[in-house]
Amino acid sequence: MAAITRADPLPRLRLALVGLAVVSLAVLIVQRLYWYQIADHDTFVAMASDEHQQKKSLPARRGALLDSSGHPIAVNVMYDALYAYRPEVGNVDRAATVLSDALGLPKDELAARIGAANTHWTAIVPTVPANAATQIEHAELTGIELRRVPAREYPEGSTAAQLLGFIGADGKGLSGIELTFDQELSGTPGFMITERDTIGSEIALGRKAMVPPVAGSDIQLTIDRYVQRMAEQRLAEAVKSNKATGGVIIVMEPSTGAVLAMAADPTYSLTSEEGYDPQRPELYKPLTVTDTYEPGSVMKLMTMAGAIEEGLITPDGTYYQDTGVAYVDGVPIKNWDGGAYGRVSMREVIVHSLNTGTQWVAGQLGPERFYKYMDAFGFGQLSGVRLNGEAPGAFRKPGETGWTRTDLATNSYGQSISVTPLQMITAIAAIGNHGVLMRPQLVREIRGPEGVERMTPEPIRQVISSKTADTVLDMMVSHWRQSAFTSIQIAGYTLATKSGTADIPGPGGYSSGKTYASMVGFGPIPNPRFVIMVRLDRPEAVYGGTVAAPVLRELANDLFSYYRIPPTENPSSRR
Amino acid sequence: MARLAIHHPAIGTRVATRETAAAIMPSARQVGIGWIAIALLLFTFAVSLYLIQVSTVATSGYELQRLESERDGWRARNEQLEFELAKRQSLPWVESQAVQHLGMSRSETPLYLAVVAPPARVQSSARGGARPPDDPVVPQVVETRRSGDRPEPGNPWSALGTLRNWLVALQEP
Repeated sequence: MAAITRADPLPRLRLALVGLAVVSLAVLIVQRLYWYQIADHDTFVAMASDEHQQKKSLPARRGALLDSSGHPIAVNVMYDALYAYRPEVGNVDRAATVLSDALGLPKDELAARIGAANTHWTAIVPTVPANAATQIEHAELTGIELRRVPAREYPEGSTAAQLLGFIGADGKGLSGIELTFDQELSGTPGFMITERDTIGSEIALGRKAMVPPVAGSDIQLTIDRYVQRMAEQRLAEAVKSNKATGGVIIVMEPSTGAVLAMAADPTYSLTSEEGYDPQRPELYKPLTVTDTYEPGSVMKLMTMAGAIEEGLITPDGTYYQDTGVAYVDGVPIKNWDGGAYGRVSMREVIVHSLNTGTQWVAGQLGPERFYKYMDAFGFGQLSGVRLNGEAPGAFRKPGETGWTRTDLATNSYGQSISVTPLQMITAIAAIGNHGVLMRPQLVREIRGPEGVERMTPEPIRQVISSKTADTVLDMMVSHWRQSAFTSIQIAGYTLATKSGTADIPGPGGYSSGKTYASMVGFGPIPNPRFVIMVRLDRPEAVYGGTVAAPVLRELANDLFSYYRIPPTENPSSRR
Repeated sequence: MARLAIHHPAIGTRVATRETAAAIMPSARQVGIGWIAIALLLFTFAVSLYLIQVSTVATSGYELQRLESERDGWRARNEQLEFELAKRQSLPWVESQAVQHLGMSRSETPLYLAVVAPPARVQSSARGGARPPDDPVVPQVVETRRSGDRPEPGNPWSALGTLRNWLVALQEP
């Protein structure tokens, strides 16, 4: 046996190496411990917390949209969505049978949907009614799960679809009122911090903190569901019968600027499952505020109002000698029918809607005063209606590039000027409101958790005097009483109207033969309760007085009945 | 061996050895074991109490979760019923029921009958004041419809008389 002696260095070296290795490992371990426990302590605490704690979001209920009388037109409803994961479904046939009995859907279709969910949990039925959900729960099917999800529902169907707008899959508003008032409607989501077990389920005792959600505000609109429905029905009928490509109807209360109805055609369905059509984005915006058009002869009212206000003309004391054509800077201006009416009063200029006479009035006003009134009536500016995507409209003014004296002439009868339908009816409404321009209103009140915020009517400015407004209104009454409208008079009631026909410019100028045919009208006279604007796009019979007037008449008649407005004159006298 | 004599009148004199005394008196070891047993007993009791409490709270917690889920279910059901109610009160539904099930049709021409206004009555206001003399008496208008609307309350004979007068007026050239 070899004895270890002091002179043999090898074992000592081995011992030293082992010792060094042990010490090194110990240092390494201590270093790691220092790293985990002290240097990066917070990170690892956070990781550990993430592992066994969860911050569960508590979604806030989205507010409802109500009509002017409080009827819901868009509400949030919680449903159970049915999810499936094929690998965990034992017997697909049994599952499909149970689901078919509960939901009333074809068994084969459900089996196919379950079969398709083979990569991850997939929603196979987005909304399951409560009674069906109870049935499914009791069946205890494996691989089938119910998850509670909110859905936006529309009790009145697709009423005012473009105005209301829609929400996305994340519950955020994407257009219309839903987009503009998304913040108010959304509310504030809450959260709950809780502990979870190894399979991710919540531990009942592990709740540490909870901030409850704050529900979104309900928004009461100025829209009256009955008036809206009437407007939509009348518009759809008119578009069809006149072979138009579309149209617009707006009903407004002149004294407050409240919009009672805002219908557009074509539109989209809020209730169908077809979803968004990317090929037709124009369907999904409130085109009554986003799209502009040339209003045509309706604009003559503004020209007349300005000239009467300035004391330049009177309805029956100022005459114009109409030869059927007027030359402005060498450009011929003709009447809509090409006719020459001879010596006509200003009232007759409105009644017969003469372009020649109106451009003469604009000439009397001069560019400065004419455009002052255009500004005062709100053209070329946002109306402030609080709807996303509103267009201001446009027209050239003196001093701007391209403006000529011809612009003044054509602007006076509503050509070479673009306005939105809402701008137009708002300006017209000022005539029926003693000359006071009101800000158009779509929201009456916002009912939030902190109380009710009422939107009071907001006068913008006095555009013309009350006397001038009454004079123009009287000229509009003459327009309604002209012989061309005898067959569509409403017994016992008087309206005040003005028709408009605007050529739609095409690539080759105003020679497309297509028009915007429109009509505006107050009812009843005196003391107008509502103002209606009807516009049909590219109708077969091109004139506003021909295609839009009967629609306005029918709608006014509906409103007289709805508002229980008694006749203001003996019905027999107007037969 | 040490002896200890104990005298008692009843039992007389007894002699106890050290062993006998040791057998009677508990030893320090036995006392220690006793204390440990008591401590274990108390510990077991405390742990049992804790376990019972934890178990009860856990059961309550799960019951709470179940009840919350049930509450959410009822809320969802309530929302769905409210939506169904709103749908049943909607204009499209009412119109379809009226037309398809009740055989009703839209009233196109309302007929208004002007009736004689009742004589002005002195009405006492909430403050006890009388109606101001310049407050005009608004003529009452009763609206009826030709297609089966319920008549408004009022004097039917007066309304019929007015209708007759109106029809006579229509006949006149």
